[in-house]
Amino acid sequence: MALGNRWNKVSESPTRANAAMLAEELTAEDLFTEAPAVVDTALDEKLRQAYFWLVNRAVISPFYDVEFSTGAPVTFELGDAGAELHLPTDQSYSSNVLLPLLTFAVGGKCLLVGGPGRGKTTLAILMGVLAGSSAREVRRNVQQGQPQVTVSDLVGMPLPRDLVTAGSLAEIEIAWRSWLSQPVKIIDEYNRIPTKTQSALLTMVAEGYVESHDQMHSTAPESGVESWFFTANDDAGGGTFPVIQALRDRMDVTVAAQGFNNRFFDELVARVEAGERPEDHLPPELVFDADEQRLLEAAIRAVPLPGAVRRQLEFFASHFEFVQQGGRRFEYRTKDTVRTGGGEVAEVIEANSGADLQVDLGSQTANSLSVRSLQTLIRYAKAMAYFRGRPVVGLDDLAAVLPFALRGKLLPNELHPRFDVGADRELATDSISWLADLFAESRRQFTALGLGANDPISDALDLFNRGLDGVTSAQAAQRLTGIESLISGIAKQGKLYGRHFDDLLALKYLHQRYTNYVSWLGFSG
Amino acid sequence: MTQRPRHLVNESLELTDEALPATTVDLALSATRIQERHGSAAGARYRHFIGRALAAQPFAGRDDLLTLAALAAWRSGALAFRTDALRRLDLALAGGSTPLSAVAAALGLGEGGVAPFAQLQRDSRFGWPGLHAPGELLAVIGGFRGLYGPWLAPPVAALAGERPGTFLIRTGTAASAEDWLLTADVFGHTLVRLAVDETEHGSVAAEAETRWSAAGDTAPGLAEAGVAGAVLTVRAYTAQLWTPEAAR
Repeated sequence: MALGNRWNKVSESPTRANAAMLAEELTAEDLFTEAPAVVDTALDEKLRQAYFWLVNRAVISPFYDVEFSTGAPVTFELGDAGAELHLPTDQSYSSNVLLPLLTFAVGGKCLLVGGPGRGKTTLAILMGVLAGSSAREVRRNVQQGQPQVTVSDLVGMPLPRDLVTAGSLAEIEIAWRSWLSQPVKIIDEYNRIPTKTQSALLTMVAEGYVESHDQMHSTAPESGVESWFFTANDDAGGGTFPVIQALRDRMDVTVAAQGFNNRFFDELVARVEAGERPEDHLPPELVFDADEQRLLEAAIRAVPLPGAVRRQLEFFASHFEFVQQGGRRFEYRTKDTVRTGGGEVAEVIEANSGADLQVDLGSQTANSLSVRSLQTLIRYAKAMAYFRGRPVVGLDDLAAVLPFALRGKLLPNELHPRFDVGADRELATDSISWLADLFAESRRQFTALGLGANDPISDALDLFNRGLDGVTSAQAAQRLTGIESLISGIAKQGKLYGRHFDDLLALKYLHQRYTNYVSWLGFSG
Repeated sequence: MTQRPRHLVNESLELTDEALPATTVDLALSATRIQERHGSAAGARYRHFIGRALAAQPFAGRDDLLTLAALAAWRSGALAFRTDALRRLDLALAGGSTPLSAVAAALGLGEGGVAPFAQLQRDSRFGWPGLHAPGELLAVIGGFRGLYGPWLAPPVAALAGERPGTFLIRTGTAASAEDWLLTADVFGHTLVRLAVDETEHGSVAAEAETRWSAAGDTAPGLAEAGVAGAVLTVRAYTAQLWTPEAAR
């Protein structure tokens, strides 16, 4: 086989067997109609084909760190420092390829971190080629972060003619840079960009437009779906310029580029000898045109998030806002109160001797989750389920993307005993493992508390959400008593954890609504 | 000896990679569709059978082409085409336009074997001339993942499914137990793991669970599907499909 042909191998068999696909009855006519009339079914298969081409042909990434198993995977304990190798029983994936690909599919923002020469930029370029641009065009449009880069360098400049002749700002035409409207935008080494230019970048990333001399320009491409890829060789505040927090927060997922596995040296040698780059050889059938990108994004958004999975996510997120001595009034006992008031969250947590730090997951973090982070998490969990050909989001889909979506956003409390001393010290720097463990522990607590089967606060919310039509004053009073009884039940437990904070505030909300309703009934007669 | 999944009807098959002729329907597309759904081996069988059939009837009209394609697809192992193929086979035998030679070629039979085959299929979806004696091995299914199969643990029990040609197979025990739904006929099978969905409190598919609790999940590994007319046994790392013993 000629060297050039080795790039063209795309999975021919279905990349995931689908029970529904195999079970239906077909007729001869079905053999001669283009495969599935339902476009999004074909697109998820195409997305998987793209993934397998990327990992098997393009970037040589024999890492399967996003693990899926039915039942317990075979596990080996290795060495004397607690290392474990799992052999997953279901199709598992390489995070440094999968997460960028999901970012491309959902139109998100991905930060690729890792030392030089680990293929971060190559991966980002491959995403651009998947979106239909030529490799050359994508390479030309990569914005190189360097200490001298200005806002004009990034967005373009006013035409000199207009600067002289224009009577007002409105008459100045801007020569916008062409990369701004590409479906895939790549900013290399964004932590080398000066702070002022980072702010301009933030407007583009956050708002989807750029502004110069009172003129605005939308960054949306033809499909309306744009994805951003940033690279950095440091994710701990290093780099020529510190990354402004608002820009860092816009990164939907953060993925580390893996090192090279030296057992795959032969492929490396072949590439050196052939002088080839993978982005020049993407099989054309893997390219997503503008319509497909739009349909793909819409299909992902449409994947349902079942109530049981949503409840687990609610429970997980509830751990992190509350801090016992963060304020005086109950509602203000939050990490945000401490932080915005200039206090040290870690010290406040340490001062709380009432809760068991081993059990209190909230005590492991120095901050809480933003609504934006949660929205990102939901979007990527849907993308994960879609990519796996699952009809609804499963807990395993959520667990798979959670560490990458929360990395850099949910920050460890470095004074917590877990990071300070003991067997888990490595988790202070391995945030992906820590976040995965945090979610696993939250799931264990959820199960131990029996919340899947018995959750009186959810029941009370459901009852209220059914509406108050026909509810009598006596019935409302009965419900008020029930709410007070639930609050009393929590109060009797003595120790207070993050999960109670949301529950108590929800109960207070219900109490208010019923109280107002009872007052209204009394007033109206 | 390592047992690999196979159907005995294909045992002595020598596949020819026939060049598909240009016709009024897109044969290359149909071959791709079979390959997409059932893998490259089934795709190769389809090209073989449809190629042979069209060599026997080079100028087939659209309806004949559809008949031959349905038969070739079914013969290649694509179960989903069985009902349509049988309907078309009955029409052809009842004096339809498709020549018997082409029908026979699409099924990999001699002309004289077509009518007996149709009769055997009326009795059992596992009927095939030369494979209908009692206790005849029809297919080997499953296998250890390390040896090209789908299973991580050996099958421990099997049950007849509720629909014809379906069986439930349990592999592994306790925490590692997995349930599989097998749908089979003489030419092919599909094997689908019944998903464990944590959103449903960790239960396997409800239908399977009910049936296992009735039978006990350490059933002796022998199931007879009366309607399907075949017996499934489990041994070592595979499941085997047999024609029923005469006395059974």
